[in-house]
Amino acid sequence: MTFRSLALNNIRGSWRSYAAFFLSSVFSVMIFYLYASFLMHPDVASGHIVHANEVKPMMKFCEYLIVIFSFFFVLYSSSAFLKTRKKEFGLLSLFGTTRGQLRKMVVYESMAIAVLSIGAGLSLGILLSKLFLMALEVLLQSDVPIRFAIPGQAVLLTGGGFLLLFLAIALITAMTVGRQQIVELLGGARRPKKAPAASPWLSILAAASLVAGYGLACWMTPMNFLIFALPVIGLTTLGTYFLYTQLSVAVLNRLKRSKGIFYKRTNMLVISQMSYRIKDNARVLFVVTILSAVVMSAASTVYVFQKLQRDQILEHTPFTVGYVERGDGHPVMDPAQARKLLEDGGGRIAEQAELQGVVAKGLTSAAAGWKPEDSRKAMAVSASDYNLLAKRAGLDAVNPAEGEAVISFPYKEMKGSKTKPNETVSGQAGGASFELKLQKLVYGSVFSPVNDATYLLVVPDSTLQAWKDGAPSAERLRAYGFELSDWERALPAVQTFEKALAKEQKSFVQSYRVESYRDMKQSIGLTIFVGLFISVLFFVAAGSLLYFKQFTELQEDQSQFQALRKIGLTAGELRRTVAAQVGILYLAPCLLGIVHSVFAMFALGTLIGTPVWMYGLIIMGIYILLQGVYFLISCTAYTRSILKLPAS
Amino acid sequence: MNILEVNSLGKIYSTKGEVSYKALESIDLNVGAGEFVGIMGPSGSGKTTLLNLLSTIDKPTSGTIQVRGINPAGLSERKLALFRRRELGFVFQDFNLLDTLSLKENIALPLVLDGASPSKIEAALEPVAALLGIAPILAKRPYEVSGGQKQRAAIARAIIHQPSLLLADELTGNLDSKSAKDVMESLKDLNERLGATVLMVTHDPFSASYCQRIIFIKDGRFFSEIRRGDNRQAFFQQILDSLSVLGGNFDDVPFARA
Repeated sequence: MTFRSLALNNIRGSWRSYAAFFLSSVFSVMIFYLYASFLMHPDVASGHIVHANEVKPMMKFCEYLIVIFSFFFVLYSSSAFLKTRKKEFGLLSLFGTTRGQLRKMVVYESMAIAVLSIGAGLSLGILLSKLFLMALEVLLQSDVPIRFAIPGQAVLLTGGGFLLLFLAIALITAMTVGRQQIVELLGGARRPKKAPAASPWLSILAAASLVAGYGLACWMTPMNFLIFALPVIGLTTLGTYFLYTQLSVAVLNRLKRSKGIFYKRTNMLVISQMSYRIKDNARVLFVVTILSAVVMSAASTVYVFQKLQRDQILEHTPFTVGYVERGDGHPVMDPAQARKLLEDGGGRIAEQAELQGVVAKGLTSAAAGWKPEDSRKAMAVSASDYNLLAKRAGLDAVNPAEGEAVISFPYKEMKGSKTKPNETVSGQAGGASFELKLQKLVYGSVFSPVNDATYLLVVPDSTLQAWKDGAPSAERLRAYGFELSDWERALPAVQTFEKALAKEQKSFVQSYRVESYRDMKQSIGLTIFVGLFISVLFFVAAGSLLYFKQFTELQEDQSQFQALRKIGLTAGELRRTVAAQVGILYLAPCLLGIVHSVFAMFALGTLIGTPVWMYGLIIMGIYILLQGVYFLISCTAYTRSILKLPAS
Repeated sequence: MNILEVNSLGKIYSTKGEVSYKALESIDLNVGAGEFVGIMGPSGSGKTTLLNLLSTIDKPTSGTIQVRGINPAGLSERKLALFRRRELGFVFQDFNLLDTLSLKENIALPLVLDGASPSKIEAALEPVAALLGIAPILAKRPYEVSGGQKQRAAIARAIIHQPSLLLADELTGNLDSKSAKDVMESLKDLNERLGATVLMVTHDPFSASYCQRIIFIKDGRFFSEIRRGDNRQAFFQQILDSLSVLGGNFDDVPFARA
């Protein structure tokens, strides 16, 4: 047996504890390669794929994130591995293995795992890259298909980069080997642990800060957001930490004192072992909880913004396609022809609207901020026409009395100045000057706000009739609006319509709704797509940390479980005991993280005025699913390993 | 009445395509109620195999075992676990107490698992703890007490549910001679005062000298049997004589204790 084969055999012997670590490493390498293969794809690099620039910065950012994350993950896992092998190192030292040889062995082992996981990660990455590129192709709506390629640069970067990363960590961890006395190493593997104790004050602090944090999150309003945000984050983080280190132990100790619960079948085993397990893993549980809360909140926020942006686009464009015409005939387009064009493009018209009015120009009004040197024009419309459309857009009706007018601004975001009493609006319309009392200012568009129809001047029906009669035909306005059913997919229809327009006609037309919705959806979709991999990577790694911790610990308890088997613990009771203990490790951080992010979403909801907590459910579902899979795998693997071993 | 009846018990280990190995062959053994029986034999004689079969954690290839008339071979896995829990008590060489529980909780475990009420558990625990002299240290954890105290707690755990048969496996193997003596005295007290039936496997002639009867086995077969008179010292000498007749390898036994 050569020295190298000793190292390899070590890995083979303890593959079960390496398995989860190996898997997460493979996953990191794979995702890094997927991103790299896109960034360095010949077509992308040559600028052949135009839309690629939309994702490139984000992917680059994610690449850095993966490297940083992998560094800490591998560092933590490696040092944790070494800690469990103290006894083995003690024995080897006892036989006269020099410190240098031990370090060499550790480096050999790490590099063997590194080469294996890089190899597996790269091959999986190459295998899946076509699928990844196809998904990107759809999301980017690229006209040119992104062909399959294995960019040598990406392979080199991924392989070389991770090899360096693993090597650096192997050297760092190897340095810690052999610093202790042999006797410490030999005894270190199994030193009895003190019974976990909890400070009552810190337990109360944990409960109090969690309650306070959640409470503040519920109280949060747009006004106090800036003051509350940091305390909420601080309090929940603090509360989470002490929940794991103190409160949980305090609760379990209290349960121990209640004989009715503690002295009930397997409860005794579960409760007493649980307090050790939670206390020992408190820091890992804490980190996993906080990170899951952050990831879930971030993901939910992205969803929320998608929804909000859609609402905003709809607010800005009351009709899928709308245009305004001035004067006789149809300087832009005959509505019948517009209708035909839209239908030719595959659109189905759900609603067609027409609005008539006259040009009101030279408008000045102090309340609206329209000064004489900066006068505006607007489309004057009748109150009854306006109210019909306002009802459709979900806006309030207006009711200007004789001699009064209402100014309608197209966007809610323009809201600012307030109407003071006795303000007026003056200008010319219908061939004559007028001065009307300004009843109020309203915000939000009821008809496609474009060109002359950007602003509306709402006047009583009789006033409009008088203006219409007095106005030259060149000052009469007609606005047409077409609403398509299933407009989200009606881009071809809109494009057919747009193609029929001359350049100078386009300034009278608003038809950007579908396109800007598509752009928004695309960029959000890309964000989610790229971010999803990072989130999954994180969840996989978090699971593998827990898997490893739990596995090494349960291995220590194996002889005790076997003794219990002899005493007469049935297989079912054993399974239940193990499941309860393992379950708490996987599900506690997951559930607490979800609770945290639900409160975060609740706060976000009050901030933007609509409840939004539901959007995180999908991400939470994925997370629970992944943790559940980990739980099932480690639980069955462990139970089987106890039941299979002959008790002797 | 016999608590344990073993008839022509045999165990053959065989792996596919390899030579089979006879670990035990036609062993007959009867243990009456309240008896204290020792089983001795050189390394490789089949002691551990016999104990595993009696503990029902291994199945015989021939012959039958009956504990109080019940043949565990016919039970399902779950029933078998419950059978061990109710009918058998175990004491191990390495104690096998749970570090996460106090001594008291460790002792109560068999009753707790069986769903006994806390008051009943308390009632059962007190006399046993007093008899074994561990009442003052019940609140301590296993790592806070000595090896002898641990083993006495383990005996208490094995006896608290009043099993039909107490099986002990080299229970003094990990103890110094003083602790070994204390533990054996305790076990003898239990046997005499509570009438517990004990079957003990051991290498150690000193521990064996507490038994009423010792069965020697060699190469998987019954070899001889000796009974104790009134004098333990004379019985100890008798055991040493039998062992020298038996021959075989006893290197792993610390003889220094005698």
